[in-house]
Amino acid sequence: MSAARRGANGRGMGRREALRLLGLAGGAAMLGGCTPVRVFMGWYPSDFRDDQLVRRVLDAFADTVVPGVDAGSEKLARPLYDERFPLHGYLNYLAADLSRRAKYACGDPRFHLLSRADRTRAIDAGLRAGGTTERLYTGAIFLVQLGFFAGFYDDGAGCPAIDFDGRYRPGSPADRTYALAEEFLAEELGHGGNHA
Amino acid sequence: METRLTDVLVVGSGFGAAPPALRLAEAGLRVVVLEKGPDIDAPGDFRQTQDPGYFLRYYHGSAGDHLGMTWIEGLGGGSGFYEMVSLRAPSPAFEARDGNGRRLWPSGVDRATLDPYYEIAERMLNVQQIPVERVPRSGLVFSRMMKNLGYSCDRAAYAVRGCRGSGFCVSGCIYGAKQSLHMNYIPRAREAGAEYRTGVEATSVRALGPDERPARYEVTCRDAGGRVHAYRAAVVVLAGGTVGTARLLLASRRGLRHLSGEVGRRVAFNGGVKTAGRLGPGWPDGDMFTGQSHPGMISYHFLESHGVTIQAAKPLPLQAIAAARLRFDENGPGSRYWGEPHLRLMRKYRRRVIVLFALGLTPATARLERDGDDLKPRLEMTDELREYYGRTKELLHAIYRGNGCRPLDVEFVDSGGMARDDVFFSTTHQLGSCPMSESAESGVVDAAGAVHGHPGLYVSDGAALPGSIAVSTSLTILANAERIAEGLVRRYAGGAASAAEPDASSRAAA
Repeated sequence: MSAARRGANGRGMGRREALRLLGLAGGAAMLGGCTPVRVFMGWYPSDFRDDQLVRRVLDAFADTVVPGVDAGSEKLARPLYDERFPLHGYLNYLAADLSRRAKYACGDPRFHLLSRADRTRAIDAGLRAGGTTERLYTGAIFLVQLGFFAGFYDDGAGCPAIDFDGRYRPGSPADRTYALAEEFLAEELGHGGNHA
Repeated sequence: METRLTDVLVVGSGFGAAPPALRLAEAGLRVVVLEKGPDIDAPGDFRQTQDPGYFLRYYHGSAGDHLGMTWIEGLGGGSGFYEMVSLRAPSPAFEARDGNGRRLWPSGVDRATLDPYYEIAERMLNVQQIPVERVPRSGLVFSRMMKNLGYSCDRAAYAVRGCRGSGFCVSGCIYGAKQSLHMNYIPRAREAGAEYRTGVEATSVRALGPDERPARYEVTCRDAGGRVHAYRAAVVVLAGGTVGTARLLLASRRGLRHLSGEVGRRVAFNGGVKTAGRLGPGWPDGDMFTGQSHPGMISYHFLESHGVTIQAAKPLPLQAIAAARLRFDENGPGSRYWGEPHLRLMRKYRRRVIVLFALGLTPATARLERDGDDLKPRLEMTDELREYYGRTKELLHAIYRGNGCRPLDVEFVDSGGMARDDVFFSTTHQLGSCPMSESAESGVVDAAGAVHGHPGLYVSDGAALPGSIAVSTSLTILANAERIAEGLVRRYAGGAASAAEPDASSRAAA
C-alpha cells in the first residue's frame, strides 16, 4: 500500500480522517462538493508509486515555487515530506496531478523535464482546479515558501536569499538604528509613551 | 477521585493570574495555580527559531469566518511570547458604549482608577519608554513618515531590562531581557509559597453547599496523563483568557446555577487592520530582522478622529508568510504570490518593505460559540465594521502614498495558505467573553471581578475587560488584575474591612 493510501498513521485511511488531515487546522469548510475521491483512495497512475519519480517531480515543483535559489531543490521540497504536515500523505497524488496538468497545458506529462515557464503554467492550472486540488497545490506552495524563507530546518542558517540570518548574530547597536535618530522623530502626543 | 484542599485556586498563569497568585500568597494564604499548558523554564526553554513545531507547542488559535484569535498555553501565558509592549489603555477606551447607549465599563473603573495599578504593574515589569537611541530602523522610518505628514508619533514603552535587539521576542527571549512573568511575579509567588502545577487543565467548576465550608467551590481537573482529580477552595480565580475562562464557565453551568447567560458574549478584538508598503526612492532602509521585534513607536494621532492607534510591525519570515500573501501591486491582481515575482519581493522584504497596522476601539460584538469541542469566535460582519475596515485601511494607505511609498497588495490567508475572501480580523488582543458589568443581565462579573451570583468565584483576566482598548492589552490585564487582587487580599486575608455585601442572588446561593 502506498504512502498516500496508508496515510499519516500508517493505516488505511477513511474519508473522514483524510478530510481532517487535509484541513491542517481542521477546517472542513474548504472542501466543497467537487472533492475528487481519487485523492483519498490513492488512485493515480502506477508510475507515481515510484518514489524516485515522485521526488523528481516535487523537486521540480519546489524549484518553480522558489526559482533558481542556491538551496538545492531537494532541500526546497523537504517540507512536503515532513510528517508533521499532512501533505506528506498526498505526494503521489500531487505528483500525478502535476504530470496530468503538464500534459494538458504543454503536451508533455514529464513535469520535471519542462522549462520553468511551462511548469509554472501547469501549476497555475492546478490552482485553477478548485476544491481539494486547489487546496493541495496551495498548501504545497505555502509549505515550500515557509520552509525556505523561514529557514525552519536550521535555526542558524536562516535564509541568505533574503538576508535573514536566522538565529541572532550580535552586531553593534549602530546596526539596529540610525545616527541622529532624533531627526526622524515626530512630535509626541502622550506621556511616557502612553496616551492620556 | 482525589481531592485536594487549598485556600485559593487560580486557573491560568498569565497576566490575569499573576497578581492574585502573588498577592494572596504574600498575604499568607495557600495558593495553587493550575496551568493547562507546558512548564516553561525561562529563559532556557526559549529558542530563537522559525520552527513551526516549536511555536505550535505554545501557540493556539481558533478562527471563524471573520475573526481569528491566538493565545498561548504555557507557564506565564502570553508574557513569554509577546513583544513586550506595555501601554496604558487610553481614556477614550473607557467611554465605549453598547448598542443601547450603556457604558461598557462599570462605574468606578476607568483610566484614573486604574492608574495606580498601572504604576504597580509597570514597576513589577520594569516598564520604560524606549530611549531614542534604541528605536529600531523600521520604527524611525515609520516616525519620519508620520512627521512628514504633520502627524504625532510617540516612543512606546516596554517591559524589558537589557534588550539585545535580537528581534526574536515572539519566540521567547533567550537572554532574560524581556520581563515576562517568569522574571518577576512567578518566582516571587513561589517564594511566597504559591504552588504552580503545569499540564493540568481545569474542566469544570461547581459550587459547594454550606456544609462544605470553608470550601466554596470544587474544580475538577485533568492532568497530562489523563488523570482526573479535584481541588476545593474558598476562593477560585479564573484567569484562563478570553477563550479559556469562557470555555470553563460554559462547561460549568450545571454546577454554577446562577451563572449569567452572557458568558461567551461581548467579545472585543481591538479591530486590527494590517497593511504593507514598499518604501519609495530616497527613503532610508527599514530592517525587519534586527532590533527589538516591536519597532518602538506608536501614534495616537488618529485616536480621537478615527478611534485607532497606528504602529509599525516587523514580522519575521515565518510570521509574514503564515499571515498573508504579498504582491507588488504593479504586477496587478493576477500576479503570482509565488515564483519569480514573489522571490523578487522577498529579496526586498528586509529593508524596503514597511508594515503598518492599526488597532481600534471596535465594538465588543463578537461571541464564542461551541463547535464540537472547540469554541469558535463568531463575528457578524456589519456595515459598520466593513466601513471601519475600509476607512482604516485607506488611512494607512494614505500614509504610504503621502510619503512617496507604495501600498502592497496583501491577501490574508488561513492556516492552510488559502486566501480569505472577506474582511477578516486576526487578533492576540481578545478581551471580554466574561465582562465586568453592573448586573448579570449585561455581563458576567462585577467591578471587583466577582462572578455575579457566585461569591468567592472571580475572573481576573482579559475575559473580564469589556471593550477594545486600541493598544496592546497585556498591561491593562495586569493592572486590572492587581486591582482585583487588592480587593481579594482585603476581603480574604484579614486586611482593612471594605468588602461589599453579597447581592441577593449570591445570598440565596449561600
